[in-house]
Amino acid sequence: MSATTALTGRPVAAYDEDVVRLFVIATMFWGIIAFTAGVYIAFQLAFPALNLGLEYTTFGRLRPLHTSAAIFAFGGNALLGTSFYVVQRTCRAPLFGGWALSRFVFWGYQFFIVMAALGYVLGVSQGREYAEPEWYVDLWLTLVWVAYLVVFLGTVLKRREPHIYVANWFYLAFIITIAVLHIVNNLAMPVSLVGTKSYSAASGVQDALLQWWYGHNAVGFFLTAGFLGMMYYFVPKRAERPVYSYRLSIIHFWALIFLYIWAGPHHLHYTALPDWAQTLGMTFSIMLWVPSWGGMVNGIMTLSGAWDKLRTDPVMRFLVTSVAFYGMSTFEGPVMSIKAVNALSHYTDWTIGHVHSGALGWVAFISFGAVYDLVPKLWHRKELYSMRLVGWHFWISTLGIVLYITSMWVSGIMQGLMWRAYDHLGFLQYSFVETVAAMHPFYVIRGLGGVLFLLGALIMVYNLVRTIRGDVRAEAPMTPANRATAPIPAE
Amino acid sequence: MTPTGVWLLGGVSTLLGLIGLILAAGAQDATIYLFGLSLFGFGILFTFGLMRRSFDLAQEDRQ
Repeated sequence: MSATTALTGRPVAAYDEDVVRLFVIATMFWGIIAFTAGVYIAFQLAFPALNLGLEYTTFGRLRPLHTSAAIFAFGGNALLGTSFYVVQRTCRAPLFGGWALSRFVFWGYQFFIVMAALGYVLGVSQGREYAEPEWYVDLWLTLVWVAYLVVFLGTVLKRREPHIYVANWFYLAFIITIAVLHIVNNLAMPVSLVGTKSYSAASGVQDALLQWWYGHNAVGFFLTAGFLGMMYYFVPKRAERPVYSYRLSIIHFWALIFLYIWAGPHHLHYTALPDWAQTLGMTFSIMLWVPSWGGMVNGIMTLSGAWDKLRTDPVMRFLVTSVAFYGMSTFEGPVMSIKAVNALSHYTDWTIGHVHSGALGWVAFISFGAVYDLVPKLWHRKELYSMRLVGWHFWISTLGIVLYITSMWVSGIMQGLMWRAYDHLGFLQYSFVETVAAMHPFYVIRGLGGVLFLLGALIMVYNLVRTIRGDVRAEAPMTPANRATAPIPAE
Repeated sequence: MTPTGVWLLGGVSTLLGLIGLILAAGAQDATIYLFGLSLFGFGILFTFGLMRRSFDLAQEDRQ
Protein backbone atom coordinates (compact mmCIF):
# COMPACT_ATOMS: atom_id res chain seq x y z
CA MET A 1 0.00 0.00 0.00
CA SER A 2 1.22 3.52 -0.66
CA ALA A 3 -0.05 6.75 0.81
CA THR A 4 -0.97 9.13 -1.97
CA THR A 5 -2.33 12.64 -2.16
CA ALA A 6 -4.83 13.79 -4.73
CA LEU A 7 -4.28 16.61 -7.22
CA THR A 8 -6.30 18.84 -4.97
CA GLY A 9 -3.88 18.32 -2.13
CA ARG A 10 -6.47 16.51 -0.04
CA PRO A 11 -5.24 13.21 1.34
CA VAL A 12 -6.93 10.15 -0.12
CA ALA A 13 -6.93 6.58 1.09
CA ALA A 14 -3.84 4.62 0.07
CA TYR A 15 -3.93 3.00 -3.35
CA ASP A 16 -3.28 -0.73 -3.47
CA GLU A 17 -0.08 -0.94 -5.47
CA ASP A 18 1.05 -4.30 -4.05
CA VAL A 19 -1.45 -6.18 -6.18
CA VAL A 20 -0.42 -4.23 -9.30
CA ARG A 21 3.21 -5.19 -8.60
CA LEU A 22 2.16 -8.85 -8.39
CA PHE A 23 0.36 -8.59 -11.73
CA VAL A 24 3.39 -6.93 -13.35
CA ILE A 25 5.67 -9.73 -12.15
CA ALA A 26 3.15 -12.33 -13.40
CA THR A 27 2.97 -10.55 -16.78
CA MET A 28 6.73 -10.81 -17.23
CA PHE A 29 6.84 -14.43 -16.05
CA TRP A 30 3.97 -15.68 -18.23
CA GLY A 31 5.21 -13.63 -21.16
CA ILE A 32 8.47 -15.59 -21.20
CA ILE A 33 6.57 -18.89 -20.85
CA ALA A 34 4.18 -17.98 -23.69
CA PHE A 35 6.93 -16.82 -26.08
CA THR A 36 9.10 -19.87 -25.30
CA ALA A 37 6.18 -22.22 -25.95
CA GLY A 38 5.45 -20.35 -29.19
CA VAL A 39 9.03 -20.68 -30.41
CA TYR A 40 9.07 -24.37 -29.53
CA ILE A 41 5.86 -25.24 -31.38
CA ALA A 42 6.94 -23.07 -34.34
CA PHE A 43 10.03 -25.27 -34.70
CA GLN A 44 7.90 -28.39 -34.15
CA LEU A 45 6.09 -27.52 -37.39
CA ALA A 46 9.42 -27.16 -39.20
CA PHE A 47 11.08 -30.14 -37.50
CA PRO A 48 8.44 -32.67 -36.33
CA ALA A 49 11.05 -34.67 -34.39
CA LEU A 50 10.66 -32.00 -31.70
CA ASN A 51 7.33 -33.61 -30.76
CA LEU A 52 9.67 -36.02 -28.93
CA GLY A 53 7.32 -38.98 -29.40
CA LEU A 54 5.48 -38.13 -26.18
CA GLU A 55 1.79 -37.29 -26.07
CA TYR A 56 2.45 -34.52 -23.53
CA THR A 57 4.74 -32.61 -25.89
CA THR A 58 2.85 -32.95 -29.16
CA PHE A 59 1.89 -29.85 -31.14
CA GLY A 60 -1.81 -30.54 -30.49
CA ARG A 61 -1.35 -30.22 -26.73
CA LEU A 62 1.28 -27.49 -26.66
CA ARG A 63 -0.49 -25.20 -29.14
CA PRO A 64 -3.41 -24.32 -26.79
CA LEU A 65 -0.82 -24.02 -24.01
CA HIS A 66 0.95 -21.35 -26.10
CA THR A 67 -2.22 -19.47 -27.12
CA SER A 68 -3.66 -19.47 -23.61
CA ALA A 69 -0.33 -18.46 -22.08
CA ALA A 70 -0.04 -15.58 -24.54
CA ILE A 71 -3.64 -14.35 -24.42
CA PHE A 72 -4.88 -15.15 -20.93
CA ALA A 73 -1.68 -15.44 -18.89
CA PHE A 74 0.54 -12.72 -20.42
CA GLY A 75 -2.20 -10.48 -21.85
CA GLY A 76 -4.67 -11.18 -19.04
CA ASN A 77 -2.24 -10.34 -16.25
CA ALA A 78 -1.23 -7.15 -18.09
CA LEU A 79 -4.89 -6.18 -18.42
CA LEU A 80 -5.89 -6.99 -14.84
CA GLY A 81 -2.82 -5.28 -13.40
CA THR A 82 -3.08 -2.10 -15.46
CA SER A 83 -6.86 -1.91 -14.95
CA PHE A 84 -6.34 -1.96 -11.17
CA TYR A 85 -3.65 0.72 -11.52
CA VAL A 86 -5.66 2.93 -13.88
CA VAL A 87 -9.03 2.69 -12.12
CA GLN A 88 -7.58 3.76 -8.78
CA ARG A 89 -5.87 6.81 -10.20
CA THR A 90 -8.59 7.97 -12.57
CA CYS A 91 -11.31 7.49 -9.91
CA ARG A 92 -9.09 8.72 -7.05
CA ALA A 93 -10.26 5.78 -4.95
CA PRO A 94 -8.54 2.66 -3.60
CA LEU A 95 -9.68 -0.71 -4.87
CA PHE A 96 -13.13 -1.76 -3.69
CA GLY A 97 -13.10 -4.82 -1.46
CA GLY A 98 -9.67 -4.06 -0.04
CA TRP A 99 -6.50 -6.10 -0.18
CA ALA A 100 -8.14 -9.48 0.47
CA LEU A 101 -10.50 -9.45 -2.51
CA SER A 102 -7.87 -8.11 -4.92
CA ARG A 103 -5.47 -10.86 -3.73
CA PHE A 104 -8.19 -13.43 -4.38
CA VAL A 105 -8.48 -12.09 -7.94
CA PHE A 106 -4.70 -12.29 -8.42
CA TRP A 107 -4.08 -15.75 -6.95
CA GLY A 108 -7.37 -17.11 -8.30
CA TYR A 109 -6.39 -16.00 -11.81
CA GLN A 110 -2.95 -17.63 -11.52
CA PHE A 111 -4.65 -20.82 -10.32
CA PHE A 112 -6.90 -20.73 -13.40
CA ILE A 113 -3.85 -20.43 -15.68
CA VAL A 114 -2.03 -23.33 -14.05
CA MET A 115 -5.11 -25.59 -14.05
CA ALA A 116 -5.88 -24.80 -17.69
CA ALA A 117 -2.26 -25.57 -18.66
CA LEU A 118 -2.33 -28.82 -16.68
CA GLY A 119 -5.43 -29.89 -18.58
CA TYR A 120 -3.86 -29.11 -21.97
CA VAL A 121 -0.72 -31.11 -21.27
CA LEU A 122 -2.76 -34.06 -19.95
CA GLY A 123 -5.00 -33.98 -23.05
CA VAL A 124 -8.16 -32.62 -21.42
CA SER A 125 -9.87 -30.22 -23.83
CA GLN A 126 -13.42 -29.38 -24.88
CA GLY A 127 -12.11 -28.58 -28.36
CA ARG A 128 -13.25 -24.94 -28.50
CA GLU A 129 -10.61 -22.55 -29.74
CA TYR A 130 -9.39 -20.10 -27.05
CA ALA A 131 -11.84 -21.82 -24.67
CA GLU A 132 -10.25 -25.25 -24.39
CA PRO A 133 -10.50 -25.75 -20.59
CA GLU A 134 -13.20 -28.15 -19.43
CA TRP A 135 -16.21 -27.26 -17.26
CA TYR A 136 -14.48 -27.31 -13.85
CA VAL A 137 -11.83 -24.77 -14.90
CA ASP A 138 -14.54 -22.67 -16.61
CA LEU A 139 -16.52 -22.55 -13.35
CA TRP A 140 -13.42 -21.48 -11.44
CA LEU A 141 -12.70 -18.67 -13.93
CA THR A 142 -16.32 -17.49 -13.64
CA LEU A 143 -15.90 -17.16 -9.87
CA VAL A 144 -12.63 -15.22 -10.22
CA TRP A 145 -14.03 -13.03 -12.99
CA VAL A 146 -17.08 -12.05 -10.92
CA ALA A 147 -14.72 -11.09 -8.07
CA TYR A 148 -12.72 -9.02 -10.61
CA LEU A 149 -15.91 -7.28 -11.78
CA VAL A 150 -16.90 -6.53 -8.18
CA VAL A 151 -13.49 -4.96 -7.44
CA PHE A 152 -13.40 -2.88 -10.64
CA LEU A 153 -17.04 -1.77 -10.74
CA GLY A 154 -17.08 -1.15 -6.98
CA THR A 155 -14.08 1.16 -7.37
CA VAL A 156 -15.80 3.05 -10.21
CA LEU A 157 -18.98 3.39 -8.17
CA LYS A 158 -17.24 4.83 -5.10
CA ARG A 159 -15.01 7.17 -7.15
CA ARG A 160 -14.16 10.65 -5.90
CA GLU A 161 -13.90 11.97 -9.44
CA PRO A 162 -17.25 12.91 -11.05
CA HIS A 163 -16.19 11.84 -14.54
CA ILE A 164 -15.50 8.24 -15.59
CA TYR A 165 -12.35 8.43 -17.72
CA VAL A 166 -12.62 6.70 -21.12
CA ALA A 167 -9.99 4.07 -20.26
CA ASN A 168 -12.38 2.75 -17.62
CA TRP A 169 -15.19 2.50 -20.18
CA PHE A 170 -13.01 0.21 -22.28
CA TYR A 171 -11.85 -1.85 -19.29
CA LEU A 172 -15.43 -2.25 -18.07
CA ALA A 173 -16.67 -3.31 -21.52
CA PHE A 174 -13.87 -5.88 -21.58
CA ILE A 175 -14.77 -7.28 -18.16
CA ILE A 176 -18.55 -7.44 -18.67
CA THR A 177 -18.50 -8.77 -22.23
CA ILE A 178 -15.89 -11.41 -21.50
CA ALA A 179 -18.07 -12.60 -18.61
CA VAL A 180 -21.09 -12.97 -20.93
CA LEU A 181 -19.06 -14.62 -23.70
CA HIS A 182 -17.35 -17.02 -21.31
CA ILE A 183 -20.57 -18.17 -19.65
CA VAL A 184 -22.62 -18.61 -22.84
CA ASN A 185 -19.85 -20.27 -24.87
CA ASN A 186 -19.10 -22.75 -22.09
CA LEU A 187 -22.66 -23.87 -21.34
CA ALA A 188 -22.14 -27.61 -21.04
CA MET A 189 -23.34 -30.69 -19.20
CA PRO A 190 -20.62 -32.61 -17.33
CA VAL A 191 -20.85 -36.39 -17.65
CA SER A 192 -20.03 -36.60 -13.95
CA LEU A 193 -19.34 -34.02 -11.25
CA VAL A 194 -16.12 -35.88 -10.42
CA GLY A 195 -14.96 -36.31 -14.03
CA THR A 196 -13.47 -33.98 -16.62
CA LYS A 197 -15.61 -34.71 -19.67
CA SER A 198 -18.62 -32.56 -20.61
CA TYR A 199 -20.89 -32.06 -23.63
CA SER A 200 -21.77 -28.67 -25.08
CA ALA A 201 -25.33 -27.38 -24.69
CA ALA A 202 -25.48 -26.61 -28.43
CA SER A 203 -24.66 -28.91 -31.31
CA GLY A 204 -23.86 -28.83 -35.03
CA VAL A 205 -23.62 -25.50 -36.80
CA GLN A 206 -25.23 -23.67 -33.86
CA ASP A 207 -22.36 -24.89 -31.71
CA ALA A 208 -19.86 -23.71 -34.32
CA LEU A 209 -21.50 -20.29 -34.49
CA LEU A 210 -21.53 -20.04 -30.69
CA GLN A 211 -17.84 -20.93 -30.64
CA TRP A 212 -16.94 -18.22 -33.16
CA TRP A 213 -19.28 -15.65 -31.66
CA TYR A 214 -17.13 -16.21 -28.57
CA GLY A 215 -13.84 -16.62 -30.45
CA HIS A 216 -14.01 -13.43 -32.44
CA ASN A 217 -15.27 -11.42 -29.50
CA ALA A 218 -12.42 -12.75 -27.40
CA VAL A 219 -10.32 -10.88 -29.97
CA GLY A 220 -12.71 -7.93 -29.92
CA PHE A 221 -13.16 -7.49 -26.21
CA PHE A 222 -10.15 -9.18 -24.60
CA LEU A 223 -7.46 -8.28 -27.13
CA THR A 224 -8.96 -5.01 -28.39
CA ALA A 225 -11.25 -3.23 -25.92
CA GLY A 226 -9.11 -4.07 -22.88
CA PHE A 227 -5.88 -2.98 -24.53
CA LEU A 228 -7.54 0.19 -25.87
CA GLY A 229 -8.23 0.99 -22.22
CA MET A 230 -4.50 0.55 -21.62
CA MET A 231 -3.73 2.77 -24.62
CA TYR A 232 -6.04 5.56 -23.44
CA TYR A 233 -4.16 5.80 -20.15
CA PHE A 234 -0.53 5.11 -20.99
CA VAL A 235 -0.14 6.89 -24.37
CA PRO A 236 -1.35 10.30 -23.14
CA LYS A 237 0.47 9.82 -19.83
CA ARG A 238 3.80 8.95 -21.44
CA ALA A 239 3.45 11.60 -24.17
CA GLU A 240 2.37 14.14 -21.54
CA ARG A 241 -0.34 15.23 -23.96
CA PRO A 242 -4.14 15.12 -23.67
CA VAL A 243 -6.11 12.58 -25.71
CA TYR A 244 -6.33 13.97 -29.27
CA SER A 245 -10.15 13.87 -29.33
CA TYR A 246 -12.10 12.82 -26.29
CA ARG A 247 -15.32 12.97 -28.35
CA LEU A 248 -13.83 10.55 -30.89
CA SER A 249 -12.90 8.17 -28.08
CA ILE A 250 -16.53 8.00 -26.91
CA ILE A 251 -17.93 7.66 -30.45
CA HIS A 252 -15.52 4.90 -31.45
CA PHE A 253 -16.14 3.15 -28.12
CA TRP A 254 -19.88 2.77 -28.73
CA ALA A 255 -19.40 1.95 -32.42
CA LEU A 256 -16.81 -0.71 -31.58
CA ILE A 257 -18.98 -2.27 -28.88
CA PHE A 258 -22.03 -2.40 -31.15
CA LEU A 259 -20.30 -3.72 -34.27
CA TYR A 260 -17.80 -6.26 -32.89
CA ILE A 261 -20.41 -8.54 -31.38
CA TRP A 262 -21.82 -9.39 -34.86
CA ALA A 263 -18.56 -10.17 -36.68
CA GLY A 264 -18.02 -13.78 -35.54
CA PRO A 265 -19.66 -15.57 -38.52
CA HIS A 266 -16.81 -14.50 -40.82
CA HIS A 267 -14.88 -17.43 -39.29
CA LEU A 268 -17.41 -19.78 -40.87
CA HIS A 269 -17.44 -18.70 -44.52
CA TYR A 270 -18.32 -21.51 -46.97
CA THR A 271 -19.52 -23.81 -44.19
CA ALA A 272 -22.93 -25.20 -43.21
CA LEU A 273 -23.78 -21.81 -41.67
CA PRO A 274 -26.59 -20.14 -43.67
CA ASP A 275 -25.25 -17.84 -46.37
CA TRP A 276 -27.09 -14.79 -45.03
CA ALA A 277 -25.39 -15.23 -41.64
CA GLN A 278 -21.97 -15.43 -43.33
CA THR A 279 -22.70 -12.23 -45.27
CA LEU A 280 -23.93 -10.54 -42.09
CA GLY A 281 -20.64 -11.39 -40.36
CA MET A 282 -18.65 -10.10 -43.34
CA THR A 283 -20.63 -6.84 -43.50
CA PHE A 284 -20.19 -6.06 -39.83
CA SER A 285 -16.50 -6.92 -40.08
CA ILE A 286 -16.04 -4.40 -42.88
CA MET A 287 -17.95 -1.76 -40.93
CA LEU A 288 -15.52 -2.37 -38.05
CA TRP A 289 -12.82 -0.59 -40.05
CA VAL A 290 -14.23 2.77 -38.98
CA PRO A 291 -14.32 2.43 -35.17
CA SER A 292 -11.05 0.49 -35.18
CA TRP A 293 -9.30 3.24 -37.06
CA GLY A 294 -11.04 5.81 -34.87
CA GLY A 295 -9.05 4.37 -31.96
CA MET A 296 -5.87 4.13 -33.99
CA VAL A 297 -6.13 7.74 -35.22
CA ASN A 298 -6.89 8.95 -31.70
CA GLY A 299 -3.90 7.10 -30.25
CA ILE A 300 -1.44 8.23 -32.93
CA MET A 301 -2.64 11.84 -33.01
CA THR A 302 -2.30 12.11 -29.23
CA LEU A 303 1.38 12.52 -30.01
CA SER A 304 0.68 15.83 -31.77
CA GLY A 305 3.28 18.21 -30.43
CA ALA A 306 5.31 15.40 -28.88
CA TRP A 307 6.63 13.47 -31.88
CA ASP A 308 10.20 14.19 -30.79
CA LYS A 309 9.66 11.74 -27.93
CA LEU A 310 9.87 8.91 -30.45
CA ARG A 311 13.54 9.82 -30.88
CA THR A 312 14.33 10.16 -27.21
CA ASP A 313 12.00 7.72 -25.46
CA PRO A 314 12.05 4.07 -26.61
CA VAL A 315 9.10 3.30 -24.30
CA MET A 316 7.08 5.76 -26.36
CA ARG A 317 8.23 3.88 -29.47
CA PHE A 318 6.67 0.70 -28.12
CA LEU A 319 3.39 2.49 -27.39
CA VAL A 320 3.13 4.26 -30.73
CA THR A 321 4.27 1.28 -32.81
CA SER A 322 1.67 -0.84 -31.05
CA VAL A 323 -1.06 1.56 -32.16
CA ALA A 324 0.33 1.45 -35.72
CA PHE A 325 0.19 -2.37 -35.64
CA TYR A 326 -3.36 -2.10 -34.28
CA GLY A 327 -4.29 0.00 -37.31
CA MET A 328 -2.59 -2.42 -39.67
CA SER A 329 -4.13 -5.60 -38.27
CA THR A 330 -7.61 -4.04 -38.04
CA PHE A 331 -7.29 -3.14 -41.71
CA GLU A 332 -6.15 -6.62 -42.67
CA GLY A 333 -8.89 -8.38 -40.65
CA PRO A 334 -11.85 -6.87 -42.51
CA VAL A 335 -10.07 -7.53 -45.84
CA MET A 336 -9.73 -11.20 -44.88
CA SER A 337 -13.41 -11.33 -43.86
CA ILE A 338 -14.52 -10.54 -47.43
CA LYS A 339 -15.76 -13.86 -48.77
CA ALA A 340 -13.75 -13.72 -52.00
CA VAL A 341 -10.53 -13.03 -50.07
CA ASN A 342 -11.45 -15.57 -47.40
CA ALA A 343 -11.79 -18.25 -50.07
CA LEU A 344 -8.03 -17.92 -50.49
CA SER A 345 -6.92 -17.06 -46.96
CA HIS A 346 -9.04 -19.38 -44.81
CA TYR A 347 -7.25 -22.37 -43.22
CA THR A 348 -3.89 -21.03 -44.45
CA ASP A 349 -0.92 -19.49 -42.62
CA TRP A 350 -2.08 -16.05 -43.71
CA THR A 351 -4.50 -16.19 -40.75
CA ILE A 352 -1.63 -17.09 -38.41
CA GLY A 353 0.39 -14.12 -39.70
CA HIS A 354 -2.63 -11.81 -39.23
CA VAL A 355 -3.22 -12.98 -35.67
CA HIS A 356 0.42 -12.47 -34.75
CA SER A 357 0.64 -8.98 -36.24
CA GLY A 358 -2.11 -8.15 -33.76
CA ALA A 359 -0.85 -10.27 -30.87
CA LEU A 360 2.84 -9.36 -31.09
CA GLY A 361 2.62 -5.90 -32.64
CA TRP A 362 -0.41 -4.54 -30.82
CA VAL A 363 -1.06 -6.56 -27.64
CA ALA A 364 2.51 -7.36 -26.63
CA PHE A 365 4.00 -3.99 -27.61
CA ILE A 366 1.37 -1.93 -25.75
CA SER A 367 1.88 -4.24 -22.74
CA PHE A 368 5.68 -3.80 -22.91
CA GLY A 369 5.21 -0.02 -23.07
CA ALA A 370 2.84 -0.06 -20.10
CA VAL A 371 5.12 -2.32 -18.03
CA TYR A 372 8.20 -0.19 -18.79
CA ASP A 373 6.23 2.86 -17.70
CA LEU A 374 4.87 1.20 -14.56
CA VAL A 375 7.89 -0.56 -13.05
CA PRO A 376 9.91 2.53 -11.99
CA LYS A 377 6.74 4.08 -10.54
CA LEU A 378 5.60 0.97 -8.68
CA TRP A 379 9.01 0.25 -7.17
CA HIS A 380 9.68 3.95 -6.54
CA ARG A 381 12.73 4.16 -8.80
CA LYS A 382 13.74 7.34 -10.55
CA GLU A 383 14.21 5.70 -13.94
CA LEU A 384 14.66 2.41 -15.76
CA TYR A 385 17.98 0.59 -15.42
CA SER A 386 18.78 1.21 -19.09
CA MET A 387 16.89 3.09 -21.79
CA ARG A 388 19.34 1.76 -24.36
CA LEU A 389 18.30 -1.81 -23.52
CA VAL A 390 14.69 -0.75 -24.11
CA GLY A 391 15.83 0.44 -27.53
CA TRP A 392 17.52 -2.90 -28.21
CA HIS A 393 14.37 -4.71 -27.09
CA PHE A 394 12.28 -2.59 -29.44
CA TRP A 395 14.38 -3.15 -32.56
CA ILE A 396 15.03 -6.87 -31.96
CA SER A 397 11.33 -7.53 -31.33
CA THR A 398 10.26 -5.45 -34.31
CA LEU A 399 12.63 -7.40 -36.55
CA GLY A 400 11.19 -10.63 -35.10
CA ILE A 401 7.63 -9.53 -35.89
CA VAL A 402 8.59 -8.54 -39.44
CA LEU A 403 10.20 -11.95 -40.04
CA TYR A 404 7.17 -13.67 -38.54
CA ILE A 405 4.37 -11.92 -40.40
CA THR A 406 6.07 -11.62 -43.79
CA SER A 407 6.99 -15.32 -43.82
CA MET A 408 3.42 -16.24 -42.91
CA TRP A 409 1.96 -13.95 -45.56
CA VAL A 410 4.13 -15.53 -48.25
CA SER A 411 3.60 -19.04 -46.91
CA GLY A 412 -0.17 -18.57 -46.50
CA ILE A 413 -0.86 -17.06 -49.89
CA MET A 414 1.35 -19.67 -51.55
CA GLN A 415 -0.47 -22.42 -49.64
CA GLY A 416 -3.91 -21.08 -50.68
CA LEU A 417 -2.86 -20.75 -54.32
CA MET A 418 -1.39 -24.28 -54.36
CA TRP A 419 -4.61 -25.74 -52.90
CA ARG A 420 -6.76 -24.18 -55.62
CA ALA A 421 -4.42 -24.83 -58.59
CA TYR A 422 -5.77 -27.14 -61.29
CA ASP A 423 -3.93 -28.68 -64.24
CA HIS A 424 -5.21 -28.65 -67.84
CA LEU A 425 -7.20 -31.86 -67.22
CA GLY A 426 -9.03 -30.36 -64.23
CA PHE A 427 -7.15 -32.35 -61.59
CA LEU A 428 -5.66 -30.71 -58.50
CA GLN A 429 -2.12 -29.73 -59.43
CA TYR A 430 -0.56 -30.30 -56.01
CA SER A 431 -1.03 -32.94 -53.35
CA PHE A 432 -1.40 -31.70 -49.76
CA VAL A 433 2.05 -32.92 -48.78
CA GLU A 434 3.61 -30.84 -51.56
CA THR A 435 2.16 -27.70 -49.99
CA VAL A 436 3.60 -28.74 -46.61
CA ALA A 437 7.05 -29.26 -48.14
CA ALA A 438 6.86 -25.89 -49.91
CA MET A 439 6.12 -24.13 -46.61
CA HIS A 440 9.14 -25.57 -44.77
CA PRO A 441 11.54 -22.63 -45.36
CA PHE A 442 8.92 -20.16 -44.20
CA TYR A 443 8.31 -22.19 -41.04
CA VAL A 444 12.02 -21.90 -40.23
CA ILE A 445 11.96 -18.12 -40.86
CA ARG A 446 8.88 -17.83 -38.64
CA GLY A 447 10.68 -19.74 -35.88
CA LEU A 448 13.67 -17.40 -36.14
CA GLY A 449 11.33 -14.42 -35.88
CA GLY A 450 9.95 -15.96 -32.70
CA VAL A 451 13.47 -16.42 -31.31
CA LEU A 452 14.16 -12.70 -31.83
CA PHE A 453 10.89 -11.78 -30.11
CA LEU A 454 11.75 -14.04 -27.16
CA LEU A 455 15.26 -12.57 -27.00
CA GLY A 456 13.78 -9.08 -26.81
CA ALA A 457 11.49 -10.15 -23.95
CA LEU A 458 14.45 -11.65 -22.05
CA ILE A 459 16.27 -8.31 -22.41
CA MET A 460 13.16 -6.63 -20.97
CA VAL A 461 13.07 -8.96 -17.98
CA TYR A 462 16.79 -8.35 -17.29
CA ASN A 463 16.27 -4.59 -17.57
CA LEU A 464 13.25 -4.63 -15.26
CA VAL A 465 14.88 -6.88 -12.66
CA ARG A 466 17.86 -4.51 -12.50
CA THR A 467 15.43 -1.57 -12.28
CA ILE A 468 13.60 -3.19 -9.37
CA ARG A 469 16.93 -3.79 -7.63
CA GLY A 470 17.55 -0.06 -7.93
CA ASP A 471 20.49 -0.22 -10.36
CA VAL A 472 21.06 2.45 -13.00
CA ARG A 473 23.33 1.74 -15.94
CA ALA A 474 25.95 4.35 -16.81
CA GLU A 475 25.18 5.10 -20.44
CA ALA A 476 25.05 7.96 -22.89
CA PRO A 477 21.65 9.66 -23.17
CA MET A 478 19.41 8.71 -26.09
CA THR A 479 20.06 12.10 -27.73
CA PRO A 480 23.65 13.34 -28.04
CA ALA A 481 24.46 15.71 -25.18
CA ASN A 482 26.57 17.90 -27.45
CA ARG A 483 23.66 18.64 -29.80
CA ALA A 484 23.81 22.37 -30.46
CA THR A 485 20.09 22.97 -30.59
CA ALA A 486 17.13 21.32 -28.93
CA PRO A 487 15.19 18.85 -31.09
CA ILE A 488 12.45 20.50 -33.08
CA PRO A 489 9.06 18.76 -33.07
CA ALA A 490 8.32 17.14 -36.43
CA GLU A 491 4.89 18.65 -37.04
CA MET B 1 -11.47 -4.78 3.64
CA THR B 2 -13.41 -4.98 6.89
CA PRO B 3 -12.63 -7.82 9.32
CA THR B 4 -16.09 -9.23 8.48
CA GLY B 5 -15.18 -9.23 4.80
CA VAL B 6 -11.91 -11.05 5.51
CA TRP B 7 -13.77 -13.63 7.59
CA LEU B 8 -16.29 -14.05 4.77
CA LEU B 9 -13.59 -14.50 2.14
CA GLY B 10 -11.75 -16.88 4.47
CA GLY B 11 -14.95 -18.92 4.78
CA VAL B 12 -15.37 -19.03 0.99
CA SER B 13 -11.78 -20.13 0.41
CA THR B 14 -12.08 -22.79 3.12
CA LEU B 15 -15.25 -24.05 1.44
CA LEU B 16 -13.44 -24.12 -1.91
CA GLY B 17 -10.67 -26.18 -0.32
CA LEU B 18 -13.26 -28.60 1.02
CA ILE B 19 -14.87 -28.92 -2.43
CA GLY B 20 -11.40 -29.68 -3.80
CA LEU B 21 -10.95 -32.42 -1.27
CA ILE B 22 -14.33 -33.95 -2.19
CA LEU B 23 -13.45 -33.79 -5.90
CA ALA B 24 -10.12 -35.53 -5.28
CA ALA B 25 -11.76 -38.18 -3.10
CA GLY B 26 -14.33 -39.15 -5.73
CA ALA B 27 -12.24 -38.46 -8.85
CA GLN B 28 -12.94 -40.64 -11.88
CA ASP B 29 -9.76 -39.61 -13.69
CA ALA B 30 -6.26 -38.38 -12.89
CA THR B 31 -6.86 -34.80 -14.07
CA ILE B 32 -9.84 -34.12 -11.80
CA TYR B 33 -7.87 -35.76 -8.96
CA LEU B 34 -5.01 -33.31 -9.53
CA PHE B 35 -7.45 -30.42 -9.85
CA GLY B 36 -9.17 -31.39 -6.60
CA LEU B 37 -5.92 -31.62 -4.68
CA SER B 38 -4.72 -28.32 -6.17
CA LEU B 39 -8.01 -26.62 -5.22
CA PHE B 40 -7.64 -27.98 -1.71
CA GLY B 41 -4.09 -26.57 -1.60
CA PHE B 42 -5.27 -23.21 -2.96
CA GLY B 43 -8.04 -22.96 -0.35
CA ILE B 44 -5.70 -23.78 2.52
CA LEU B 45 -2.87 -21.52 1.38
CA PHE B 46 -5.17 -18.60 0.63
CA THR B 47 -6.84 -18.90 4.03
CA PHE B 48 -3.45 -19.00 5.78
CA GLY B 49 -2.39 -16.00 3.66
CA LEU B 50 -5.44 -14.06 4.89
CA MET B 51 -4.62 -14.94 8.48
CA ARG B 52 -0.96 -13.97 8.13
CA ARG B 53 -1.76 -10.65 6.47
CA SER B 54 -4.47 -9.83 9.02
CA PHE B 55 -2.05 -10.45 11.91
CA ASP B 56 0.66 -8.39 10.15
CA LEU B 57 -1.71 -5.45 9.66
CA ALA B 58 -2.96 -5.67 13.25
CA GLN B 59 0.65 -5.64 14.48
CA GLU B 60 1.42 -2.60 12.30
CA ASP B 61 -1.58 -0.82 13.77
CA ARG B 62 -0.39 -1.56 17.33
CA GLN B 63 3.05 -0.14 16.54
